Amino acid sequence: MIKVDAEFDARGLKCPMPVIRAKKKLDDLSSGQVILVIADDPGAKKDFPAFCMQTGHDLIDLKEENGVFKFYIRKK
Amino acid sequence: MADIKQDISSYSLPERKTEEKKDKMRIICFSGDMDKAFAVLTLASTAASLGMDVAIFFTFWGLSLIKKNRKLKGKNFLQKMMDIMMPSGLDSLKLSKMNMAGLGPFFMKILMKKTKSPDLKDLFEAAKESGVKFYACSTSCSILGIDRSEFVDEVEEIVGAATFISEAKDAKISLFI
Repeated sequence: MIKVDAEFDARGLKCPMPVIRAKKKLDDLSSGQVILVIADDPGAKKDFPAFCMQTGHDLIDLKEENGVFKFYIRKK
Repeated sequence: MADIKQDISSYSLPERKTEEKKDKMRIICFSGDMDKAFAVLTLASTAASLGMDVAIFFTFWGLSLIKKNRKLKGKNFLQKMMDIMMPSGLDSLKLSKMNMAGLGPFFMKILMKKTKSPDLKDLFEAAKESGVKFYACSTSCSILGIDRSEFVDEVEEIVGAATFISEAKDAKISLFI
């Protein structure tokens, strides 16, 4: 089980809003804290790994269930 | 000599030094079409959220995106005509295809709501909040007789081609839309 400090439900939001809003939530966290982002936009699957690679945040885990994605991101 | 040097340095954009480490994205927004405005604002706000330093230069028809009102005073006859014919603001943009006298954009707005997609205002807000900078092109402004007061407050400055070139020179991504 991953310890989650914050959760952001982006279900229903369309590209690019999940990434933009998640970024804002991440700004409120401190380094090392983990946020769980839940999204159902099909683009999210590749967008969040790309987001993490660009920004340097750590994508610890990615789960997919019936078109719903769960991203566990640790703030750098 | 020293005075001149100081003068020149005060003209350079203030954020240059602090933003140097960030990758840059520079966009020329030439088109005033609704569909292309989606591309401009989506990419700008996303890049800024990905940690890039983003600026959009609005020129020609693209000025429609950042206009907040029509001001006829101080314009000559042709400039007045242009102002009346040009869309003014994100809400009034036309589609590049299937505009059908405004029916197309109307349908598009309904579709955006139905699919819960962000509209142009949402994207503009997102861009603004994530630190995207907005500039207007000086030559287009003077041809059309538009001054600073006709633009939304988010527009930082009216700048020329040289500013864009010097800003885009080392940009990782530069787009003309």
